Amino acid sequence: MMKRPRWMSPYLVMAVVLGMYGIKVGLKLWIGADIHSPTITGDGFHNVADIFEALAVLVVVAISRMPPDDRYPFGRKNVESIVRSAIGGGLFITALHFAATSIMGLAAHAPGLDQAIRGAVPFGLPRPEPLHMGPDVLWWVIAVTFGSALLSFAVSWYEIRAGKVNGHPSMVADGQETRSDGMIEATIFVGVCAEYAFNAAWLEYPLGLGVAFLVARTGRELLSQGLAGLLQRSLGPDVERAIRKVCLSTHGVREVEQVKTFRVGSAAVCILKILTDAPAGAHDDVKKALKKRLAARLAELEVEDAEFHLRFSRLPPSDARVAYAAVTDGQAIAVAPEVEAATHFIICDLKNGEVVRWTLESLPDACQDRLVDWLVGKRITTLYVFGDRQATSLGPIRVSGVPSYVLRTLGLLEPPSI
Amino acid sequence: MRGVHVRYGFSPRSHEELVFAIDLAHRLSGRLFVWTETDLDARALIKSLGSPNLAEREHAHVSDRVRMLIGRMEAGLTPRFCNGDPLRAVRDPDSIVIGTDDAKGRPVAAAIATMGEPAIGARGGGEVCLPFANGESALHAASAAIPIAAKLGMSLLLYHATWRDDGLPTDAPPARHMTAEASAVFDGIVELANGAGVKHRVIVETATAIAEGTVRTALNEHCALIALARGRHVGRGSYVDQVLERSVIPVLVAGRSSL
Repeated sequence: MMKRPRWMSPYLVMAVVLGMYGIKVGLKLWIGADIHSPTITGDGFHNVADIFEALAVLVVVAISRMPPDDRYPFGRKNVESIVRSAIGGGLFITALHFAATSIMGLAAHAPGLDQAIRGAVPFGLPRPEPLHMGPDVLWWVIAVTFGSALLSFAVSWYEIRAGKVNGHPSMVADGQETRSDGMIEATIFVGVCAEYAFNAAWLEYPLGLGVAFLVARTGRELLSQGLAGLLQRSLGPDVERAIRKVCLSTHGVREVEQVKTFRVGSAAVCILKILTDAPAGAHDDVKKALKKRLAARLAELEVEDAEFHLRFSRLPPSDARVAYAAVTDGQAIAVAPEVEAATHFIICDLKNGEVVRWTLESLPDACQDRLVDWLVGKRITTLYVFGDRQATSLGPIRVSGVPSYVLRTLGLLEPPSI
Repeated sequence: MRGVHVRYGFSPRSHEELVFAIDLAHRLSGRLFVWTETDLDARALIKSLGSPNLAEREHAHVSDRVRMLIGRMEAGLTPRFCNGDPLRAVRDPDSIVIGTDDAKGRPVAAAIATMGEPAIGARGGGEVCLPFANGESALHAASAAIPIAAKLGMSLLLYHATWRDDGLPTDAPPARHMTAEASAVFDGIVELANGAGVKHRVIVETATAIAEGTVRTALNEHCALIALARGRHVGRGSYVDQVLERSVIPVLVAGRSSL
């Protein structure tokens, strides 16, 4: 097995990620508060949520190494869902605050409008300080915004790569989020440059609204994912349809009786009940193949980490008993063309339509006039005679035709190769 | 024109095999032969009851049912009806007999055990799994499977399970553990496949359970058919029988080898 380089260690990766966020949070909250910028401060708080998420990833990486046990049959990965829900809720509140600050910042340019809004709402609204712009802070602002974007892109590449190498989907997801943070930071940098280029401090507020929207969107996603895990929401009809399709396209599977899917943390759990007619010796082969094919299909649907619990059961046996009207001379046996011509009856036990046992019986003397009663007593449902004929009935028994009078053709004798 | 032979029967399994045979004959543009059993003693017995023309009546009933099924499947075939046991009666090595029990025998023609499937590729798979080892049987299986794969537009998955070569490093790829004889067989199969314009890929594993590995790989790779041939020098424990015991994928067994 190839040895993984030390710089790919998940703990080192997450330490780098945490260090990056620590630096960004410190710088953004300091410079944001100093120049009264809701955009940079809002983004700083966004990064505070990212710190907690990175910590959650670290916890999940540690916890995912703990095997499931009797008390936690699906492991403890739902810790991630709890943390995600909390971060999502916190981000929502943060986004609301910065959206309100930005709106009031814009409204401050029209004092009448500002008064009208404050009079209309029953709660206090933030009073944004005027944006501080000037050469004394320009280079700090540019360094923080541009540096943050650059750092995010570099660290996200490292995190995604290490997540894939180590097989930690939550790390890959966190890396992807870091990349989207980089996009937000790049946008803020462009906005700040535009503010200085056109001496337009008001640009800060639409930009702040944009950041508040993006923060709210991240919050909604995290809250939704967290609640999906906690409330064991299914993976959705599309994923479940795809699971059924893969199952039915696998040899040995006759029916998919039940599909239950949900998430535990970022991992998907699929519980399937499958009906099969494969020989018992093949169950393990079919099970392994199903797991492999399902994992590949779910990966295509961006469900990277999935565990499968497959329960196989046999198709319920459909047992029945039928009879053939027969003639015999003691040596040969043939199916009689009419019930009246029968000297004997072949009583067959069927399992799923195949004859598993048959006996040749003559009608007892005491039953000569009571054929139907005798057949009913034998639990016969259908009586066959030779010839193509419309199905009729003999009391409660259905009388039908078979195309051959030869027992082997009717499946009553084993083929010669056995 | 390739002949596809199947026994007519009244059981659900016989019906499945008939459906499989009709589909295969249609897709191979072949000729469908439907076989019924003859029991002269039973015929004489029933004739004594005053039922004349029994053979004709039976033929009419069977042919009606077969033709109706062909019509329902829109296969456009004209079946031929024969009496006897196809396992012994079919002498054409290019023919295919459909039936799990026939695959367990040693017919001159190739045989396909349907494993309850209604057609080759009914579940969407598009490859023929062809296991190979050091012996000639794989070449024989290839000569039976490749024309069918070419006609059905399928490709080949060549599977090889080999013993570990202890002289190689532990992380050496499985293909390096192949023996020279296995490589020669592989080259022979590739030449046959290329000649017929059939695409192929290969999976080599270091494993000892050949039958299990074959079935597992065919399932994992979503193959539609497993093709095998009996080794001429195998007395007991043929891989063909082992695969027939545990496979859920249709199995093509090449006819008695003329190699």
